[in-house]
Amino acid sequence: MNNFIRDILTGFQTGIEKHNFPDTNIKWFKCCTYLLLLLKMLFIWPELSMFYRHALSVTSGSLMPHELFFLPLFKDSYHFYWLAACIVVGVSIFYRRFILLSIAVFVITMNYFLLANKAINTGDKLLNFFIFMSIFVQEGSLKNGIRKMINNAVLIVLQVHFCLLYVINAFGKIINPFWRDGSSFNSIWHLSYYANPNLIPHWLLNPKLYFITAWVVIIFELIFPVLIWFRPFKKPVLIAGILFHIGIAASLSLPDFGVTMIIGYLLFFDFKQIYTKANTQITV
Amino acid sequence: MKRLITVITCCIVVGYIFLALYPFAPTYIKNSHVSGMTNKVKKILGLGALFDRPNTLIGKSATYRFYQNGKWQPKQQLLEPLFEDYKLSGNIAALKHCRLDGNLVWNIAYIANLDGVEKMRHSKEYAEFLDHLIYRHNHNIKPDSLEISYYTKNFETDSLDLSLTFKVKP
Repeated sequence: MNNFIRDILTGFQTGIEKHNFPDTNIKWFKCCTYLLLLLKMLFIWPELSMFYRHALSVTSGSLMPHELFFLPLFKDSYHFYWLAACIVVGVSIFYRRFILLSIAVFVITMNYFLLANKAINTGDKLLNFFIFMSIFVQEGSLKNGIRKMINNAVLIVLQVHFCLLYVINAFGKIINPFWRDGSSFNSIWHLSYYANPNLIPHWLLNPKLYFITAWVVIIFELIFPVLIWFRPFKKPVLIAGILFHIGIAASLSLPDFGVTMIIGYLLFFDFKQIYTKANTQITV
Repeated sequence: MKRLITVITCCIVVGYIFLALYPFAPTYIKNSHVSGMTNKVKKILGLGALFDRPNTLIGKSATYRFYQNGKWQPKQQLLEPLFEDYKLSGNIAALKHCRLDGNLVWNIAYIANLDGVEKMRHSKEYAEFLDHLIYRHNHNIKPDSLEISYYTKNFETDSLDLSLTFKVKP
């Protein structure tokens, strides 16, 4: 039994060590997550005083780094804190190798999370998770070093997390009769303050297409976590996913969720192929 | 060190596999304390399914009006103007505000339907809602009285069904 576990662990360790994550993926993944956080912070600014006031009615603040923002000390200067936080996130986009900056960005994303506590969605939680895991991921690590192995382990966990998100969504839908018969889409396409009627084509609103749409969604969520690991399917699956999430972001008014999911695709994207193609074209 | 990283990663991946298979777990596991922990972890990590519960598929709407300066003000839609603002100008702050208001009003309607209006009035959710409503929707002026109506939308008939209405002195 012990030998069996040891063999499994050795195999798993070899898998982690051999897993190849180019620096380009790490660079773009970190850049985009930080940039999205910065945009969200800037977009929320017009309602900052309202959200801050509401957050104070729920959170009293403490000396914990992520709750400092809500201490009475900042009650009259929260706009300056937010400006400083935006600058820190902006700087961290360019100086991604500083662990302290990565930790500061995580504290700031937690500030945002507490600030918008009753207005957050899965996208906010996912972005938080991405930013937390980014603390442990560094560009420019040496091959076969511990740093490289930590990078690989964290990125594998992120990839598994991302795939699992689809699996859980697919399973959650399959066990519901209103998803199996497609009637869920009758509600979703009419859902007040989510569905955007300007962006939903009228021809989609019929029971046959509700059924087809529901099953296309379920099948996509089931096959993505499988096909994404096979090189020939990677590109079509990613393109389908990007279209899928742009559709959700626009038609169901979940823009940040859609963008976060698309950023997650950077973990799987093959930049090498694109660079090789571009270099070949330049040489020709 | 490498073995330690492997063991930690392995444990996390096993945990993920358990979470993925959880919907199909036997009832005795779902009824045990594992259920609460699993749901908590899924909630923190944002691993829930979108639009998978009947509650998330119900269209909701709310109106409010204030009694001040000796008369009732006209009824106002709570969420409509915010969502319209987002639809027309892509104002993300308005969308987030709409989500906040929707959540606050849903919470008090849920408590009122479950325990009655009187209990709801003494809940922290109601205090939270009231504080926000007065601050953001009435220029922080406390009205003499206010009326809240909460509706659910019937997609088949395209009508609004009144789910809850009450008048209170804040």
